[in-house]
Parts: sequence; C-alpha cells; structure tokens
Amino acid sequence: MLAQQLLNGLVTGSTYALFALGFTLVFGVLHVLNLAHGAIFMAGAFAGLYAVTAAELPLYLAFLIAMLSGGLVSVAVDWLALRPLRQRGSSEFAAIISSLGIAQVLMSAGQAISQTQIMRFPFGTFPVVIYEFWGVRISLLQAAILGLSLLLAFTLLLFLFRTDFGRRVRAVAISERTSSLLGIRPNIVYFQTFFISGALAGAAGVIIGLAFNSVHFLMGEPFLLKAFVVIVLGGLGSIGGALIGGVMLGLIQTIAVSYLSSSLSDAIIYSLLFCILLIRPTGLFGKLHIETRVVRS
Amino acid sequence: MLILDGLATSYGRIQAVRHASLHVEPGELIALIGPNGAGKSSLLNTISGLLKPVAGSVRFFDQDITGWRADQVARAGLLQVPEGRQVLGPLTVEENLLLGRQALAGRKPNHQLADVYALFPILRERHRQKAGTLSGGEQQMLAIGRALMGGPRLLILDEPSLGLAPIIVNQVFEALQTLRHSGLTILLVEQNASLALASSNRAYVMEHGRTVLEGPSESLRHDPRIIRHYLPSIETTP
Repeated sequence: MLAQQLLNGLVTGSTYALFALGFTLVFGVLHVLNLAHGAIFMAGAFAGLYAVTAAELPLYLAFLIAMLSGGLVSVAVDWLALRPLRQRGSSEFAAIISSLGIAQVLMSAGQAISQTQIMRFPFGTFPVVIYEFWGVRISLLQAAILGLSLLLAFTLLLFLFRTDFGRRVRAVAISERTSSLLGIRPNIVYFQTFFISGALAGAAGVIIGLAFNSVHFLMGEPFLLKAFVVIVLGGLGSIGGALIGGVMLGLIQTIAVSYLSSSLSDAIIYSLLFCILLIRPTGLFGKLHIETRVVRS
Repeated sequence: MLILDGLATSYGRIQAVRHASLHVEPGELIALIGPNGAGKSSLLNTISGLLKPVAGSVRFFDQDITGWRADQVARAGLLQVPEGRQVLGPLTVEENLLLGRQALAGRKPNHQLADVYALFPILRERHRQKAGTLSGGEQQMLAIGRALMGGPRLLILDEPSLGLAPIIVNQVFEALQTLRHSGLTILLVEQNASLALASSNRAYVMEHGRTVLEGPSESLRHDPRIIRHYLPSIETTP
C-alpha cells in the first residue's frame, strides 16, 4: 500500500517537475517570474490535443507539435510582453504584471477556442497497459511520464552544462553586459531560453493532459501555483532542484491525501512550504545568497 | 587599424567623452592615461559598443563600426578586457576561457587553450575551479586569456593593474609585452601613468573628456606637463 502510494506520488511529482523545469529556467536566466507559463502549457496541450482529434495525427507527432507550439507561444509572450520592458530597463515587478496580463489573454483565447469545454484525448490515444511488480501496479502511461520527465530534465542539464549553447545561456544569466563583450548577443539567448521553456511546457501539457485525462483553458493555473512551491523547495533557478522539488511535492501530496485527508492536502503543502521558508529562506537546495542564477543542483 | 574621430558620448545629461580622436596602428601598444573621471573608461566602452556615441566616428580596419552593438564589435575582433575583470564567477576557469571563443564568429583563432595556459600557467592549475574563487591577479589573467581566445585583432584593456599587488601587476604587464612581441596590437587604459608610459610605444592623455596630448611614450615621460601632473614620484626623485 505504501509502495503504491509512493509510486503514485513519484509520478504526480514528475508532472510537477516537468511543468516547473521551463518556469525555473526562465527565472534562472532572466530573473523574471513568467506568470504566463501556465497559459503556455495550456496552449501546448491544446495544440497536442487538436493534432490528435482534428488532424488525427499519431501521438508522437502531436507531442512534437505541442512542443513546437509551446515554444512559439512562449517566444511570442517574451516578444510582446517582456522584451519591451527589458529594453526600457523596467523593474522585474513590471514583468510579473505584464506576463500575468498576457496569460489572461491566452486563457481567454483558449476559452473561446474550446468553448469552455473540458476536452479529452480520445480513448486509446495512449495504450492502456498495466504492469504489476511485487504487488505495485504501474501503468505504461505512468512509466512514460516518469521516463519522459527524467529524459527532458537530463537533456536540459546536458545542454546547459556540456555545450557552447549552455555556456552562452549561463553567461547571459550571470551578466548580459559581460556576455556581450564576449561576442554573445543576449537577445538571441533570451529567445532560445523562452523557446526551450515553452517547448518543455508544451511537452508537459500533453503528458499532463493524458495523465489527468483532461485539457481545458484553466489547466495551467493549479500547476503554476504548484510550480512556485516546487522552485522554492528546490531553490530558485535550479534545474536539479526543480526535479527534486517536484518529486518531493508529489510524494508529500499523495501521502497527505491517502493517510490524512484529501481536503487538507493543499493546507498541508503550503504549511510545509511556510515552515521550510522560515528555516531556509533560499529553499532546501538554494544557495545562501539573494542573487539567483541558472545552477545545476 | 583603429581610428577615432571626434568621438563624444553622454550618460543622460552628463557628457563623459566630449571630443576624443586617436589612432592605433598594427603592432602598437598604445597607452591612454589621464586622471580619474577624465572619460577613459567611457571612451573604451563607446569603442566596444556598450555606450552609444552622440558624435564622431569609430573606424576599425576598413569598417565604420560607429554605433555597433557590443557583441558585433567583439565579433569583429575588437575585444575588451573590462575594468574589474568581470569574469563569470560561477563558471569554471576553463568554461570562461571557452566562452571567449564566442567572439571568433568564423575568424581564425590566434590563441588556443594551450597558448593561454602557456602564457598563464596558474590558469591551467586552476582550470576546474570556479572563476569567482580566484585571486584578483588570477582573475585579471583569466580575463585577458578569455579575450585572447576570441582571436583579437585589437585588444583593449581597462585598468588592468587596478587593485592588484605590485608583483602581480608586473606579471600581467610582462604578459602584455609577450603578447605585443608576438604581434598583437594593444590599447591600454591605465591610471598608473609611469607604468603605462614605460610599457607602451605611444600614448594619449585624456582630460575632461578630451584627448589633449599625444606622443611617443618615451618623450611624454620627460614632458614637464606630464611629470607635474601624472608622474609625481619622478618629479621628487633627483
């Protein structure tokens, strides 16, 4: 029973982590809380869903379309709502309000397109297969969610810490001015960062849409709130921290629901967050300084 | 190779550079000296594209680079080692050096990692260390090495001696001489006038945002105006 709950928590947690990856990436590079991340995630899920239902494409193609759409919407969000503020040197607070505004626009568009319906991937989009090991049941979908979350997180880490591209991103995250003296064009790096963040959100949109069997225009909002908890737990801007924070949150939530009370689970999560912040204001894995940058762990 | 003609720059309403004209020829080591606040750093930052000029022009080889973005200037091979080193602290020494290659943009490198390590052996010892943990002198060497990785056609340095112990300053300036003898052209901004004049072949003096004096470093060292204002130690020694 406990093993089953832990597994379920792990799967739920990796969906949180998947959502939080792109969110924490943008924060780590641009030091901006992109409140449109939930809406970008929704846009990706919509694109994936329509690719399956309207265009009748296979799931893997729908998945790629969702990533591409998420990436493009994310770049558009930056272009329209954040870049103009950056060029004027506006405060980071202005960026929060601006991203919140464009999130509302995207959600209204989503509402209009879906006519406020809750949509589902058609039955059989993902094969229903259940394995059982030592009395613990895991579906193929759960295994795929776990695997994909890990794969995407490790690919992102590899990109950031083992390639020229990653070095550019980390350089710009530390200092835009110094980077430009080295011949790096910061705007291109921002563009790429937003694209990757959005593509990750799009992937998360399809996976979570499948896992919870529901795609609707407000689907991003609860995840956005959870992503705050995840990145605070894991340390702001930390990629590895988002993964660990997501899994921790999933485990705590599942255990709270199964052993205490489902109605209390959010109260428990946020109380815990409050306690952690009291003891470690920079998160469990955050470095003890105010400035946050893209970091590995 | 570099020609500034009547360059002017302002920060809002403050005119940091009023009228700067100078030229640098291949193989030279040019020093730009002058008191604090004369506009030397602002001038370098205007050349590098960090500040936009309000008047005048910057020519680099056969191109007019006036008003180019900093990344474009760097990719053209005009590389600045900024004041205060500005190494990327959370990145390792080697990552900092590899980032230097970003400025190459298809141009042929003139320094490889091994050349930089040969010039500054301490960087090889510390190549896996975070750049932020290096001493000031080591950071200065790293900043120079990083610029070398970008295949500079002209290297400009802003106050490389700032905040360094005299023995380290000597090491850094010896490295600059080595680089110059290998054919690299260098433009150096330096508050330590006697050091700057001793290591350069030609120099400019900047005051109140203007380039006011120019000449071979050797003769400037004996110019009474320079001695009075910039070389007090020489004046007091008989």
